[in-house]
Amino acid sequence: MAQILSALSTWYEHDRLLYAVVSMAAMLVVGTLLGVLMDWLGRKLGVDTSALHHHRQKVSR
Amino acid sequence: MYFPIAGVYIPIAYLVGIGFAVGVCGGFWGMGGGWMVTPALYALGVPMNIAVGTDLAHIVGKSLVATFRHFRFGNVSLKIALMMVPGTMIGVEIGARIVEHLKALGQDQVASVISVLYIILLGSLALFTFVESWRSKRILDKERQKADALGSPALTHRVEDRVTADIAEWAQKLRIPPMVSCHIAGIRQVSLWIIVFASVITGVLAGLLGVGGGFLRMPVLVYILGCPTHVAVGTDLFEIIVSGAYGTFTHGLKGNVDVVMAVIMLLGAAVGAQVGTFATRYVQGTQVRSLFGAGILVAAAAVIAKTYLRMPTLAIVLILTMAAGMALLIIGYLIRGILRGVQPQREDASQDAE
Repeated sequence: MAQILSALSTWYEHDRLLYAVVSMAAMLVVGTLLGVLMDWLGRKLGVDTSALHHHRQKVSR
Repeated sequence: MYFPIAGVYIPIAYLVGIGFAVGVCGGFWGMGGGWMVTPALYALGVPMNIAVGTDLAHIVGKSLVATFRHFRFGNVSLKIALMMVPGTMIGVEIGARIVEHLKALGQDQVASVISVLYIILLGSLALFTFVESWRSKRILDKERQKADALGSPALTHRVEDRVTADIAEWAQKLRIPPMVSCHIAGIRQVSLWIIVFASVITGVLAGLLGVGGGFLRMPVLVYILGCPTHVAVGTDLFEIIVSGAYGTFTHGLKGNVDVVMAVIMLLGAAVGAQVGTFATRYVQGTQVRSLFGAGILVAAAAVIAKTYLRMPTLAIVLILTMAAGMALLIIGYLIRGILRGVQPQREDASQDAE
């Protein structure tokens, strides 16, 4: 964690373009991972009753 | 924890808490909630420019998480969202250039024009939303009574779509080619130019006010394009990912983003967004819009307190109290819906269609 913070501080001071790209990419990657995790948890807990699921059922019939 | 970029000590639990509360509201209303997070960070001693950039970065991640859920619920119209993205970008650029022009005239000009625009926009949007939601609710109550008598629970959903589409009907009658349709949003045919025009206007306003624009796009999608409220929420969130990622990059270049702080807030927001999104399944669209109206009315009051009454602390307290209160209310709706065994809204409709 300390190494990550140190690297970010260095990029922030000396390479703003890299810092901007890393910031944007970090939010997209973490957001996607959390989204997939929450989606998986939702299905595991049985609280996902998506309209898409019903649509698929309808199409398969 | 010490954040070297922002130069402040902030307890991690506090950041997670802010993320959670705003995540609940964001998932429920389909917006980033920048107007709630920025004052919260500013109150903790984060410089305003870093508060704005960090807020935008966390909004990208949060919108991604909420969009996953909305996508599974069938609430995201990728077609509409992708058609709106270029217009929004162009509009934001136009808005930013207007701000630069105002800056050249003097800093006071910027502050006065933007604050007046903010108050007029938020006030009129709140008034319109309240009146429309109240009118829709009255019609819905009557139709629900009829539906109960006929034993057809899905009738109310069709009625709700109809009563929110007055302006949209007029917009859809304009036959300027090319015409596009969208099954998910229930739009049979609408001119592409209407979508482009709506996206440019919301983009200009977002650029002028320096916000993500979610609170502007959601009503535009409902009232002008005729999307059902739940689809408007999901589609708006998807567009926020694109515009927010671009904003994070440009703010990052200017050194306005503390990415560690943004990731910590995102952890709370990820859970909050799930709660907010689930809550939309247990309430009518009119309830979502009424709460939205109340929220932006408080935001307008906060701008008045800050700009005209010179009471910035009162403005921050108003926004934070509203965010916490709304989050609790939305959680209450969700718990009530689950305890009462209320069937999720769209599922009723799809089952009926089958």
